[in-house]
Amino acid sequence: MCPTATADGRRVLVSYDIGDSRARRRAVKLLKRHGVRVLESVFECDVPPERLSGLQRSLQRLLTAPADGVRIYRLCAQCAIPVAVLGQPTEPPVQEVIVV
Amino acid sequence: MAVLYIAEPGASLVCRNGRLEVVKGDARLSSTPETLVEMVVCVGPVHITPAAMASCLDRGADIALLRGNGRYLGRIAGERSSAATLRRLQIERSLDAGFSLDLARRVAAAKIQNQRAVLARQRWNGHPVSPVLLDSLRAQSGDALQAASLDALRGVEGAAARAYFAGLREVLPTEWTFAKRSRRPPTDRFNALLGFCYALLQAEVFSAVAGLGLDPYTGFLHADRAGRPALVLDLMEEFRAPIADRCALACVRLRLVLPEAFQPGEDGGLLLAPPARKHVIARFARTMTHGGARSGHNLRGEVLRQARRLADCFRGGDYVPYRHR
Repeated sequence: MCPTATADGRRVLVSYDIGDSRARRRAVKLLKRHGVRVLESVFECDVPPERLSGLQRSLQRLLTAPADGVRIYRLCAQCAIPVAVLGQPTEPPVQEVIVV
Repeated sequence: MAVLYIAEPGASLVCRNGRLEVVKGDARLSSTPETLVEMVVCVGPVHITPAAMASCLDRGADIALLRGNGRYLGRIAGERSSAATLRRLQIERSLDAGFSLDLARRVAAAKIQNQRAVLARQRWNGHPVSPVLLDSLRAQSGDALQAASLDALRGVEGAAARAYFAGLREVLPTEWTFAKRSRRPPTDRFNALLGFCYALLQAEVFSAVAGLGLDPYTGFLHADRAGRPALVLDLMEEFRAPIADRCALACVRLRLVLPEAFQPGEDGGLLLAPPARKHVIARFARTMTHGGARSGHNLRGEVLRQARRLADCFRGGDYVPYRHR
């Protein structure tokens, strides 16, 4: 774990490759509950440690083809800041306070 | 983790594709991942779908409801873990007059001290505040700590409040000056603004208190009265000046709200117009997360910390109120 890890270590990067469209849509819906879609198949999520294994299990169930895969990277506060953002992210980050 | 404030009249909070979204007509005003929403605060007529409500309650995110005129209406919350032991201790302690008085004294003394701190900072920033008033508030804070009874304590608190609000009047721009602090209905604009900020604060404190399993209706300083969450009001005392009053002052100074933004209400008071409400909410939210002018000071964290300290006090510890500098 990085020396600059956040107190609860909850920021994760989830990247997936899912061939089946329906399974992929399910993955999107699942991940949308937890975070922001930054690229077509990449989400930046905030997941409490106790929920992470549950999320992994749910994603596992969506992997059916041999080429399917999911990678989950834990990000500390420093690592969560991208080195570079090229092009437009698919969604803006979530603010701490939202007023509409 | 996000707090969602909805002040757009006629907006709807819906749950769609794992997101809590605020929509109005065909427009989507916001989209937030479900699991990241910590609390929802609705001001005015906001429609909440059953799915959105279920999503929030399932995850322990309270939905606070305020009327358009800024009056705290109530909240929708899920069932928490019972924490019956803590409640029993709280109720037991509340029957101990000595304990209640001791706690009430500390909180009232801290409230006056924090009021003084707010005015002292105003003076530091070059606004006209009488040093005699500051000394007097300090003395009254000391008196509160020694008060012989709850009645005597309320007397000191009332006198200090009159002096404090008179001092606050002096630092307002002239078009905002008000005659006295009045509640129902607010007869002048700054009072209306303060009332709105207090309602927002009440939503926050209620959430903190209830979230720990404490009984919001059993207090120590505020007397029992039907429909009045005495413990919530008690815990609010030390935060009214540092959070709500400062927020209102900032809104006035930064011209986030103008005197013209007020409309006459049904009961003869003044209401804040919907567009201005959002500015106040944004400033309030900012004050809670970053302390407003003093950046980096998480006041929401302080509220939670004090709620926890209160719980610990019922379990047998000492209560040290929040001291604002």
